Amino acid sequence: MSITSKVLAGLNLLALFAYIYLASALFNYRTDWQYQNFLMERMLNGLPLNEEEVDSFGQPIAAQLGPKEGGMLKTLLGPGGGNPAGPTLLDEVRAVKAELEPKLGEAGNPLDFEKFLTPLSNSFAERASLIRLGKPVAGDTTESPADRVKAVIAAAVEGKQKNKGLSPEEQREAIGRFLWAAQGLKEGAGSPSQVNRLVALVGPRVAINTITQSIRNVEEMTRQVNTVRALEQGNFLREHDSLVQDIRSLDMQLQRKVDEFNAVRQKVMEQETSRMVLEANRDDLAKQLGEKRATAVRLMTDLSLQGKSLYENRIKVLEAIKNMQQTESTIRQLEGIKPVSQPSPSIGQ
Amino acid sequence: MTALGKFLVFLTATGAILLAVMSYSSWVTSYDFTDRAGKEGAPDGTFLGLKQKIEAIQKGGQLGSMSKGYTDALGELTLMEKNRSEADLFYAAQILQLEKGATRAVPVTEVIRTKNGVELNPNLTPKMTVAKSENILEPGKDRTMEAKANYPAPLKKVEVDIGEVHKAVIAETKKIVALSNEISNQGGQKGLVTRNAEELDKIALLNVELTAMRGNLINIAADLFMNQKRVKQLNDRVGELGKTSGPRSEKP
Repeated sequence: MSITSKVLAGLNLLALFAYIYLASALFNYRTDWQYQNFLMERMLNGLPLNEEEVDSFGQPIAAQLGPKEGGMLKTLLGPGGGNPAGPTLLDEVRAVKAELEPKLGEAGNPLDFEKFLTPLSNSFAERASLIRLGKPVAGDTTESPADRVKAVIAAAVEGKQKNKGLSPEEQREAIGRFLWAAQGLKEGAGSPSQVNRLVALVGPRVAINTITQSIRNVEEMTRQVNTVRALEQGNFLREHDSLVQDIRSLDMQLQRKVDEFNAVRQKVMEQETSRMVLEANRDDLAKQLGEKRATAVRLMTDLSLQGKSLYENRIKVLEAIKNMQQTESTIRQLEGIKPVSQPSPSIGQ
Repeated sequence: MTALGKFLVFLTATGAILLAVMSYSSWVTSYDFTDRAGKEGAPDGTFLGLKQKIEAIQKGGQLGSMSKGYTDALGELTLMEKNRSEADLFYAAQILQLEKGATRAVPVTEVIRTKNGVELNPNLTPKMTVAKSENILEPGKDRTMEAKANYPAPLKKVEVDIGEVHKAVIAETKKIVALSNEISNQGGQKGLVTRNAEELDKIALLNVELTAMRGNLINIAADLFMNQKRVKQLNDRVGELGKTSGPRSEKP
């Protein structure tokens, strides 16, 4: 082998190593860019629904996310995002479900039901049914809270809603609603860290849709509560006014009766006064009558005595007249005059 | 060709093939993972599209306001429900007080509508004085509006009282009528007034009669006196005649 051949071969070899170095450097850059792309894609789309979901290269996404203890999952959730339950949304959903089941079972605390279902309630009737702890209210056709929780979990875990299969995208949205509802049971519901975790898990689009819908629901319920408050206030005022009118009427009725009672009582008192005057008058008249009768009796007695005295005096007069006649007769005899016969006097003359 | 030459040729050929494959592979997939914009019709780097999407989301500002928007909305709902609950309690308490009244010491109050809802009227708290007339529920005090349930009993009582006083009126009327009958001529009976008048007439007649009787008595007494005097005179004459004539024969 000539020297030239050897130099050329050496240069060739050197070029080979240079190419290999450059190719590997390029590969590393490319891999790094690819990782960044993958990470960014996950940031935009969230975790895969399940182990089978593949990326645009046909590679299973979950496998690329690495172990849950570190790596890309931790990076995705960010600081304060908590620990991931696994590389898929279903891992997260199952973990949350396991955590919630003791609280939202048949014998769950009504307050927990309310906290869980508040972001999902989209009508005042449903909200009212939650607040009233599942007791039925007039016109309320919503499910019981426990059934509602079961439906939400079924949609998220099994991808079924009312016995109808959901598309992966619909299931992702169902998972978003479930996870957002579940955060209501934790401290600081709706806090930025919880929002960030949801965004990391389901992606910003689904998270924004979910939370926006929740905000709309809550605002709508607030509006409905305000409407109901106004109605209740109106009803109360009507009832209150009606009762006040009733009471005023009763009060006036009572007052009229009291006035009537007083008027009649006054009349009785006047009558009593009149009666007392009449009684005094009667007693006075009776007394006068008694006195008059006494006077009459006295006068009668007096008259009787006078009559008797008159009679006696008349007797005496008659006797005197008789004596006088006898004496006159005696005188005539003595004087020799024939006595003249005279009628004998009587008392009645 | 020496063995070394052969090896080097083989190595070079292998490297060339490897590079060719890598180049082919890169060309076939032709993914540009960078954030560079494509030039002359070439597609943009995929990272650029992703970055632009993220930036669009960030610029939308939705993520930043999500938490505040939700907590604010939830806070407002909770506040509204708390207010509603308090209002319901207030309404129930007021209606209960109007209907039944807790105690008579807390008379019925009135509510007014304010910008914050409905509340007690401070000008009428704690009582509504409706009249200063007699308060039969609490004698000696100003009357106040009572709960609805506090009215039937006094109403019934005052009705009974009215019935009683009406009976008293009737009884008094009867007594007055009886007294009037007793005094005046009513009911076909002579009253005391008439009887007094009759008695007075009787006394007057008796007085007249007595006066006449006394007159007669005086006249009789005068007659008696005169007669007795005449008798005495005649007796004296008889005595004189007896002395002067003695016993005389009776003329025929």
